Amino acid sequence: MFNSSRSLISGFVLIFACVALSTNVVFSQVEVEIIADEGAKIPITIVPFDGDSDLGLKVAEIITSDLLKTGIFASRSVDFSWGGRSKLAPDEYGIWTDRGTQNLVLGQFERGQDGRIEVSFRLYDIPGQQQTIGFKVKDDPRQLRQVAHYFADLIYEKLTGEPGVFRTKLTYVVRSKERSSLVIADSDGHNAREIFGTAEPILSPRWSPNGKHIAFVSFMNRKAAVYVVSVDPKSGKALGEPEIIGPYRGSNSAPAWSKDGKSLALSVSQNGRSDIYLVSMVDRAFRPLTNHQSINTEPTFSSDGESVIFTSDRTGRPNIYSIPVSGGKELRLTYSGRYNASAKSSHDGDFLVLIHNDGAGFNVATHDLKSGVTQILTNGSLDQSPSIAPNGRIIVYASEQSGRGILRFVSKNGRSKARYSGSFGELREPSWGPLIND
Amino acid sequence: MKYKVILVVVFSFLFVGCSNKTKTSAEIEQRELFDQSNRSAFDAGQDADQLGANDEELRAQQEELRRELEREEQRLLEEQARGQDNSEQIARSEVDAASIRDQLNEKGSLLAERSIFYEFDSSIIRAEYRPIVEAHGKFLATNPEVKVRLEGNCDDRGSREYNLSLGQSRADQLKEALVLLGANPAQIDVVSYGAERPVSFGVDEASRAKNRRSDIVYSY
Repeated sequence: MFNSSRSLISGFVLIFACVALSTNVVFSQVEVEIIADEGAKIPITIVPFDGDSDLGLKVAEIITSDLLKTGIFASRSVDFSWGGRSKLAPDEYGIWTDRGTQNLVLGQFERGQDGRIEVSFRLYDIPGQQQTIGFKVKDDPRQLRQVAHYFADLIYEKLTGEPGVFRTKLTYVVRSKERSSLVIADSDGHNAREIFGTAEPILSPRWSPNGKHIAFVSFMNRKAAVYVVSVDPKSGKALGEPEIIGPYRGSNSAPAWSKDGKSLALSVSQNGRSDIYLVSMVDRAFRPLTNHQSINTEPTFSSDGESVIFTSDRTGRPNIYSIPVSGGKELRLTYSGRYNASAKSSHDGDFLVLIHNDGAGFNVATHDLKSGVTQILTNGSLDQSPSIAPNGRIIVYASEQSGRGILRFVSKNGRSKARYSGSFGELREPSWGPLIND
Repeated sequence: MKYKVILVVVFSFLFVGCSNKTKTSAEIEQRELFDQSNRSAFDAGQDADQLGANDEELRAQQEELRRELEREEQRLLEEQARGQDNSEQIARSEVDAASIRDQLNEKGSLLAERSIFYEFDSSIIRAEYRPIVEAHGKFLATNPEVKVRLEGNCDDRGSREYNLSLGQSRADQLKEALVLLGANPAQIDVVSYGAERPVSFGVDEASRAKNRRSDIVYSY
């Protein structure tokens, strides 16, 4: 919807975005909170946007929490007397230098005759005494969150040189007493929309690399089975009903997409063991990858696509292993702690995120593949299902608060934590979607 | 395979430790457990190899599985529809069913115990549940028309996917024990719910222990 924008982020660009309305937002009344913000680096101040005090504050808050989640920004306090300003005069840079910020965002709302809003922002480089981005979009007021995420991406990309992930999507499961909903939501968990619902549990949703399919596990006649549903990655809507893969004899679970999206790895359990198999999504050819009398599950492809990383309890406790996709020698990757599971590889292949237990809780940890060092990032007791943002900066995972399932975010460097709890049900099994090119 | 043999040995050892039987008969059963487990592990390995070798066969197997599931659904629907039917045949099978129900539900009997419980991250059948497993194995052997579903469950700690496999492993190993005790494999269906269907919702150990279990669910 925001075509041709990335190359034009300096100067003042006017875009009239005509957006098909997303209606039927299922879950509302949600919260995001930055719990910790220690030792972060890039100081930034986002002033509430001028023109509408409620919406202006909301946009500033969304942009701020997006940026803070990465763990590489530090928010400098907002002076509300600046809420009526949308531009910085040349003689005002010194005021912000004194306040210790290096980057300042001012913005503005205007309501058009057609009921739409024009939202604009300017990013100022305080030490350099210049405006580095000026940007305006025209949109439906209900798209305000998307607009804010878009602005956050533009600011993030300008200041870090890395791709922003705030307009990507999450999929996760909302479990209530009678129903499981598989939803697609914004990258911060908001705007969840159901794409599939069932009375049975749903586990392990996984996006295909092009964002057009989601594989997941549910139950048919009491047996775990793998399904694939087609989705529109931009609107977040399902395109048709889920299709069952297989089923293969035994319990079928833990789907993972290959890097080219042409095959699925999955785990099939029977006769007291679970093994990993590869299924071609082109011709449904099916072949075993592991062959070991133990639990072998949670396959995930390495960043180069050449090997499959998985969980096995072959030594008596779960640990992480890898095996070439063509088969061959298996390599044990984790040795520390009592329990290592649910590994995912970072996109650069430098580290894994996984669930680690060292005797206390089950926590999200990073495992550096070069040094072999495991670093625990969280302090919950029952963390599950970590998934890494496509730029490797943020990890989303399932956790709990007062016994209820919620989503939490932790930056890869461990310096920033946030949480998101929906309005009802248990939130589980988050999976971060890919970057989708405009 | 080595892993499984070790499990079986541990299993047998525990069994000897608590059994009231004479040592000799226990030893004989121990040997049987050991030999047959070896064979079943070997068979499982062969199955896996064949899967890769013949896609056509696999597709046929999948089709068959799908048809099986459909037939099962159809059968359940028909059964429901027949609910009020009073034919003689049904009356007779009701008598049989009543007798089976009575045996299974006899107060204080081992057969009335339908759950066995596990240590965290373990699918080894603990010694104290051995008499229950034996009672159900013998019951299935003497009532070959009776069908049973074994449902493996786990507590909420750790990975949901790993727990799904662990629950399957629990139920699979229980099936193996029942078969070694004389049940026909065709009588037994095995499923895993992982950590998805807890019966107890507390976060204390006593509550979690109740969720680390295999349930024995009869249909007759």
